[in-house]
Amino acid sequence: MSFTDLLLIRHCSIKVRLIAVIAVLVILVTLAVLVGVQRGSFAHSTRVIQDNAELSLKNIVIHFKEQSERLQEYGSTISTQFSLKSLIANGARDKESLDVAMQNFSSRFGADYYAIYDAQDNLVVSSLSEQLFKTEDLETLYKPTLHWYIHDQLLYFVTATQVKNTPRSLDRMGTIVFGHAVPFAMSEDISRLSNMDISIVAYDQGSSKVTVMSSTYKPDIVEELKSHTVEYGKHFQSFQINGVDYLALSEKLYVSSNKEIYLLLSMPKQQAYLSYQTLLSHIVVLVFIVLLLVLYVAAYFAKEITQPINELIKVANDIRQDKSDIYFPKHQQKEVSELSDAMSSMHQQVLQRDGEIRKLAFFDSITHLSNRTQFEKELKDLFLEHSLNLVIVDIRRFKEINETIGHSKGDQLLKLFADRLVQNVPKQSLVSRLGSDEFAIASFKNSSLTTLLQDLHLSLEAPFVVDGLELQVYTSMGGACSLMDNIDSSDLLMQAAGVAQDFSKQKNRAYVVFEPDMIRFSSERLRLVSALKSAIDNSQLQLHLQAKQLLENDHICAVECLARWHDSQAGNVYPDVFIELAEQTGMITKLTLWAIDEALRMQAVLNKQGYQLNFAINISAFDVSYKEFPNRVMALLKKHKADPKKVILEVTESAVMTDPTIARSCLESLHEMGLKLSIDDFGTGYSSLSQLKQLPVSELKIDRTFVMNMVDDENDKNMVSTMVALAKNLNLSTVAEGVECEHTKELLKQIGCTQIQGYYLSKPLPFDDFQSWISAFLNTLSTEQN
Amino acid sequence: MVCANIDIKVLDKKGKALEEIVVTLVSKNISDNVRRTNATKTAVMDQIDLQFSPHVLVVQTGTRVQFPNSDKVKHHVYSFSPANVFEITLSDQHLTNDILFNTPGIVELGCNVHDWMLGYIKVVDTPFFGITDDQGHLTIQLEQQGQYTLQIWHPLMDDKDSKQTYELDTGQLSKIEIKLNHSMKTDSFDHLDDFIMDDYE
Repeated sequence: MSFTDLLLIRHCSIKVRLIAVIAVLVILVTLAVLVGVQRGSFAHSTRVIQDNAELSLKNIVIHFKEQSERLQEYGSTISTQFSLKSLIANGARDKESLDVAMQNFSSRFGADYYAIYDAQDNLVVSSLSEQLFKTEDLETLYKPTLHWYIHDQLLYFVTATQVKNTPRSLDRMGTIVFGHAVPFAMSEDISRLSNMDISIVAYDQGSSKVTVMSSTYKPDIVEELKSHTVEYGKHFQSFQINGVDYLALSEKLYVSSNKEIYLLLSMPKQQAYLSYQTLLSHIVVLVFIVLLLVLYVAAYFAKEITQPINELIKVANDIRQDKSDIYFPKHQQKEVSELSDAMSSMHQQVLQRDGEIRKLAFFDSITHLSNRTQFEKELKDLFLEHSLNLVIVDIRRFKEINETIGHSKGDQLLKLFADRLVQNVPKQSLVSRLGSDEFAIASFKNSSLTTLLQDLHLSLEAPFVVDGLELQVYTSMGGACSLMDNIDSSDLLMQAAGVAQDFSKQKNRAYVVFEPDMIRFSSERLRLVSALKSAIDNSQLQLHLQAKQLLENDHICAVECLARWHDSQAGNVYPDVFIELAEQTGMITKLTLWAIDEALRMQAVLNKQGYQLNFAINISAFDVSYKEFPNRVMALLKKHKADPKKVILEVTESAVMTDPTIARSCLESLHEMGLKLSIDDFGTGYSSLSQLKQLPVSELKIDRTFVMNMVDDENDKNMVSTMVALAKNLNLSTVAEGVECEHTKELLKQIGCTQIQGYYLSKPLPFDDFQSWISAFLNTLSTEQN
Repeated sequence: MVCANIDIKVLDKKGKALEEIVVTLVSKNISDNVRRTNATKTAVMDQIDLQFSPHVLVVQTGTRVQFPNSDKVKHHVYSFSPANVFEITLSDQHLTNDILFNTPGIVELGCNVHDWMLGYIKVVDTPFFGITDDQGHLTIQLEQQGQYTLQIWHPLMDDKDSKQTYELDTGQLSKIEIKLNHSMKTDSFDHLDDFIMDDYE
């Protein structure tokens, strides 16, 4: 739990939190100061009061002492007066003169009592009739200290001075005694010595009776003092009179015959602590002012901090709302200014990137045509108001072209292709690049769709020159028109053109105009995909075998295994179709492994029957890029205890060239396992001979397109002858595909081709039929040779 | 008429000779005591250097004592002693005042303007008296041999010593040595000289 949690201000604004935290801190400090000051100053005040009281007490006693000393001084001064000496010497005879003189001195000195004793310490004259002191009393009274004496309920301090004939005389000729009664001594002088009330109290030990001999208090409090039990002698104490607390300090002045005389200083507590309370209230007021000041300053700083933040929040909101005119505030605080600048520059960058993203989002960076998103958007708008022709065109086998000439040149080709399209479309047409090699053209229906397709097809026939390389591209085009039945939206128009384009690809036609039936066909494809998956999983495919014959001795040396699929609804599906489907849906490797498995099983069966045949199986580009592929093949070889040397894997040129590094690593693994590798459809692709040379292949299969017409076509014949010579140079065997007649066979034999394959020999046969065929063929062969 | 002298020596408690001790002899023959000696008919208590001189004077009753003033300043001599209460107000120098001392006893003299001045006149009722010299010695001439009572006195002497009486027969001895039993008191104005010097020189 944090400090801010305690304050319940966790989610409040900085301003509130700042002020709250500072306020709490200040209040805590304030309370600490107040408590400290309160305790300290209370203790201090108490000490001051005590000290004051003690000082007052001392001062009062000193005051009494001084008065006593003064009286003694007066006594001593007049004791040397010749006239007084005369009166004393003559005292016995003339008491009256002496008495009058002494009365005079008494009133002059403010004494309340006087007495003259003769040389023998007998009383001569006195203000009181009785003789109070004897010789030993007088001897004590001569000493210059405070002498207390009680007479007739009054407390006196008394001094005595010897009168001598000459100051040098040894014996006294008399004694002068002066006394001061304390009630009369409670003059204003004394009151001034202390701010406390002063009382002289006699405490009778026997009767525990308290007599207030003198007090600065008013009579009612004096009465209370008498009845109240003050603990006399106790140094510092408090008591209560009439509900008022008093602080008191008492000191014993004098003890005489069971009576203790105390000087009592007292004062109401409230009055005593008045200065302390005043101080405390001053501090409270001061602290309160400081608190307000600190809070004001805190609020000011909080505002200083939060105002720019609030302004920046507004700026951020403006940016979010995409306001055009945004003011970035300038502030004196460095951090705020920097933040503001950073936000400003961020805003600029965001705007710039926004533009770039917009471009990327809607425009193709290679061809500078709009992309699919942009095109569909525009098409949607156009569709609502115009009749449109829509054409979708793609470059056939662009992937292979791209892989052969490299991506950079592929991109150049796309650019040239796009330019060609733009140049040849009708005015006000939209041209877009929908995907990698797929383009769309939307134009107003000024001409018929077929005309548009024909024109485009013609314009694209001319070769494209990329870096001096002339490339002939073939395209698939599909077209649809917004006026056709059931084309109610731009989406349906796009779909229709797409379906037509698919058709053109499948039917190998340059362009196809959409027909509603095609939609059904298209959905048929989807069904085929799921059916194919099921067929592979359940081994519903068949492997047909086609023999390869050695031209050297007409022996059947190998068979090529070809997958066939008979779907219950679609009937026999072309291998081109379902293999492409398998490749497109990621099922191809599964299909390949099934084929190898099946082929090895058949090979084993034939082996048992005494036919030593090499089995060739086609593998796809996807297979060689699958790292686990060699291991899976190895597992199958082991399963069937097959001899790897009798297994040939046929791979197309383009498969090898897709990713030469990975393909080579895969092919090398297979080669090391002892398998033979063959390049299928040689001559149709764009193989680099240097790359081919590095591959561990042992056989080239010359594509049927060259072989079929080679008897009549001198070019094809030369081509085949060149390829055979090339293979020989690379120490590779050659297999000619598509051999359909005796002439061709003979020609190939002359050229030096190693093997032939084709309808001339046998079409691909189911396993059972192949068994019959080979048995018959070998019988015939042996008969012929015999 | 047979003259008889007596030699008296006074010693303190420790045996040291005491100066300025008043010695009086009272004859058993009372009529002898009444006779006045020539030497005692007039006496002088001078004031010299702000001091009474002598400090102690012994006179026979009926003697007039002159109080001349040898100082340049004025003096105001007084006595409150019951033996003779008097005062000579601010006497100028060379102006002679004399006062009759007729009552036996001790007259303490003071000066009202000089607190430290203190003098004693011992008034005795006998013609046989004297004061010891700095050797503590005194010779008193007697008219005739006989029985005498001897007393000594000094202002600083303990009362017991001064009340002590010595009975003696001059026919049998002409010399007496008196030793005090108690210590002498001290003068509170012991540092008198310093005091006077400071103020008057």
